[in-house]
Amino acid sequence: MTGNESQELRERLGGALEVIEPSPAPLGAVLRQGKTIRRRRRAGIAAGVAVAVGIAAAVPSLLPHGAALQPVSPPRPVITVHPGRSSVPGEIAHGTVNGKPWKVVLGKDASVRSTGLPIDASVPGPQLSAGHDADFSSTGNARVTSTYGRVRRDVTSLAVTLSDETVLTLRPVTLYGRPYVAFQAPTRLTITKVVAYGPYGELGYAVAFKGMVNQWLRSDQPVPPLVTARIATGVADGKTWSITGYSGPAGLCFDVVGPSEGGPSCFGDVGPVSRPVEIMEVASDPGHPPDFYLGRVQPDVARLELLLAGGQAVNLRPLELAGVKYFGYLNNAAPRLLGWAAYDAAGNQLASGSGRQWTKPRL
Amino acid sequence: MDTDKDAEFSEFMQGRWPELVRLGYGLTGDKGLAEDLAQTALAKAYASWPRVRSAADPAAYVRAIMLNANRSKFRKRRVPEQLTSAVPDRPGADPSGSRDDRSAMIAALQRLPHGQRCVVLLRYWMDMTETEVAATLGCSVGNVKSQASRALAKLRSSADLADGMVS
Repeated sequence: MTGNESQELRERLGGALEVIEPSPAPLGAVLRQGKTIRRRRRAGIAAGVAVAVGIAAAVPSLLPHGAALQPVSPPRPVITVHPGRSSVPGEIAHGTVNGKPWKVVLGKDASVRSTGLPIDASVPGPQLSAGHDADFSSTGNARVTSTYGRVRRDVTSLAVTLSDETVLTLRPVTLYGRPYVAFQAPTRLTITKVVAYGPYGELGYAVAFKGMVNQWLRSDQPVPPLVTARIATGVADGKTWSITGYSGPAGLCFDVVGPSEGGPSCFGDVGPVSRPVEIMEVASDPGHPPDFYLGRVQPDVARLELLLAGGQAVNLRPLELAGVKYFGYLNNAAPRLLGWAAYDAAGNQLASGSGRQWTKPRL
Repeated sequence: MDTDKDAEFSEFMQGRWPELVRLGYGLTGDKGLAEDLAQTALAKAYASWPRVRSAADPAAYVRAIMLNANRSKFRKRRVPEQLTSAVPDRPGADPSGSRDDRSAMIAALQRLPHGQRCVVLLRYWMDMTETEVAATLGCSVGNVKSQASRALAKLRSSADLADGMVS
């Protein structure tokens, strides 16, 4: 290429690109998305540790007898938690993890600062979810995670059980007119159960699903039986994916295992199915058609047909979990959904719609 | 991340946002997608801000994140079809012809393979040296040279650019 050609290309590229006037920089959205990435990354690290521990635990049975191995599980951490000190403005709690001090401080701008961790502005909102004794958020890195929560005003303490059976007692501290709790723990540990206590005893409890606190039960409510069912499975990029539903102590949750980023999704009280087909969750890469759909159908729907761009039609068979039929679909190629149709067992069409109707979850 | 560092990221983002969106526009040919891509890259940078800010050139680091994000399998397989119930408005005539020229340039870029498009944008729009382009794309200087050569040959033969730069 000659110098003139280079210069001309530069000018034409400049002419084509410099005229673009970007919208205002979406700082808030970027921070939220960045935090989500961090949380996913952290969850991935935790899962990796769990797999490593699992493999390590399995290895002794494969070794000849007499081959001595050191215990593979990491030592149980020593975690201390104390309510925030009035001498430290905004402090929700402080303590130590294996002797290393931490503190969690709430700012007036609702941001949370934790020792050694990124600032987090996703503190649980001013309203607790209906029926919840506490709502939690967290921020962390590969090593430690700070969890903080809003609690109901009549809660005097929370007993948080972690995945290594450690039980932490959290006492709420009122800041800016609202009660909060917080603790820090190694990232590999997740919450398995939380019990809320009031002045006269136990108020309620929550059983976590993969660390997520989704549903609170009253103290006199028995633990609901756990029902699980695989509601969808398929192959993408040559790898099998599956969606398993869980209905029980933690409420309604789904776990996606597949070739791309998955993870659990939990739902609160979603009520009865009021339309033939209801979309519950869609996920997409930014700026692209969704690559994941999760929904439910009325009992008489036996088959769901998705019409995808390119003329491809996909048939899904909704499967039952705890009396409700669900469906799921994952396609890494993210073809645009042009339309859908629901059929009964006899092949009669019960309902149909456009892909646009599934753009936003309805529940 | 403390308040100072958040403020630092905010300042960095405000400064890089226009350039990233324009680079994204060159990569995707769509302003909305370009902003999504820039947002994704910056979110990834925020998630790893301590590492990004300590890089020799944080802006180059974020550009690399963005180019990788655009190269991901999701984007490669992107279905360009748009659902629409009406024919889009046709643009009015541009007496100067500059809009047609700009559109032709963007259209020609979109027909290049991803790697060649990256090289053209970095080398000729961002004025980076071949060594810098190679470092950003994680390939050899020789690869940059060959990609640039092939890209320019395609641009020369582009009907849209027939009256343009490289006759």
